[in-house]
Amino acid sequence: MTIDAGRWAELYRLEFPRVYRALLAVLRDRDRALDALHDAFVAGLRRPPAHDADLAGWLFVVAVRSARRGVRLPSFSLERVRGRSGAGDIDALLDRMEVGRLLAGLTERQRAMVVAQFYLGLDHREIAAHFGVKTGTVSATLAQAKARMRAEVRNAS
Amino acid sequence: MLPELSIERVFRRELDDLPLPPESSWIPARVTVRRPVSLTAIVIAATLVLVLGAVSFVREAPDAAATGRRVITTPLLNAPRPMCLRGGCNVYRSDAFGYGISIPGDWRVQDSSRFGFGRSDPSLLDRVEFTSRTPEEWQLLVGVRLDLIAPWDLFVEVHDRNGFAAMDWARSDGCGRNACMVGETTVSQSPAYVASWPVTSSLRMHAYYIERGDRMLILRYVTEPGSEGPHGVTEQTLEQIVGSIALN
Repeated sequence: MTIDAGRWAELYRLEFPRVYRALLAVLRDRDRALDALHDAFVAGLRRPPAHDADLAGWLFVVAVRSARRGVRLPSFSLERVRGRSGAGDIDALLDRMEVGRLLAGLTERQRAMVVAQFYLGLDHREIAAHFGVKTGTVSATLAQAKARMRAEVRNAS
Repeated sequence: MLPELSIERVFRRELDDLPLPPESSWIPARVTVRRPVSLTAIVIAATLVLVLGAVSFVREAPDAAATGRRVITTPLLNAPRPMCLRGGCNVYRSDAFGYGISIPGDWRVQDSSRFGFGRSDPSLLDRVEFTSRTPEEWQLLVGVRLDLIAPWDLFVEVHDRNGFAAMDWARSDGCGRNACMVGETTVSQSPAYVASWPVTSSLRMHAYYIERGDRMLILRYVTEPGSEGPHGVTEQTLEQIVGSIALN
């Protein structure tokens, strides 16, 4: 069934909280996460996914790819230097979380796959299909990421 | 601590606590009034933009001092002559903001200001982007998100300094929140504060801050360490362009 614009907006709103939080965990920046998710929304309007199953995974990967394309220009809110925080508060929040600390030691690509598996609930085959890589690559990336997270847990304890 | 079987639960419990932005911002404003556009309409619009752009360029050409926005091929008269790079000498001169910079012969000015680039930043007086990419390559990379820094492009920005020192500007840009390397150097005989910090796991921002009275001149670029940019651009190319700037 084709997804029309109205249906797309409705589905997007339903998935927004989960996908946005997944992106925050990967990108550690509110503005980048929101921009990337906006891009994914626009991409879906132009060319919606073939079906509405696993929409969160689709949105997540399109957004992650979009975030990799470039870097947002700094916003020059100089109030930040005087104590107000922008992206830094998300960093601080994530650093207070066990998951945030574990993810911080990973590369962005590893973080994306770990979050896709453990938070969005995608399996290796689905992650491979979304990211356009082989299942073996996903398995290897996740194995490396998990080894790093285990080492981090050992160090912490 | 984090046994394998409970990872999913821990992820959900913790990440579900992350704050969401206001619901009004979930859907991007730029698409709320967008309607489907046919390919023909896109082609016509693109043609119109090209034609208008060409007309505008021809009209503006004799008035460099007024616009300060085009590439010229003569050196600055009242500033040291910028060097020529990669076999070509392509000099951009901004009379309005008192600088000239030499870019390689195969580079060009990417004029994105007309699309509203950077207008959300009240201190920004001027921003010029220099790129080695073709317009098509640039569009493919940046798409509709005109607030992006394309890696391996060079930006020259002029801001109202608002009394802040170069170090504050660097910290506001992101230097303070990330592992940041800082230093001091001289650019066109003016002292400059240099900062460099990671912006993603693979990209790194480099910025030069030069205080010029009430204004702050910033030269910035993003690189991917260990890689080469489009059309053979390297960090050395970008450093050469930065070094070629001549300040009035």
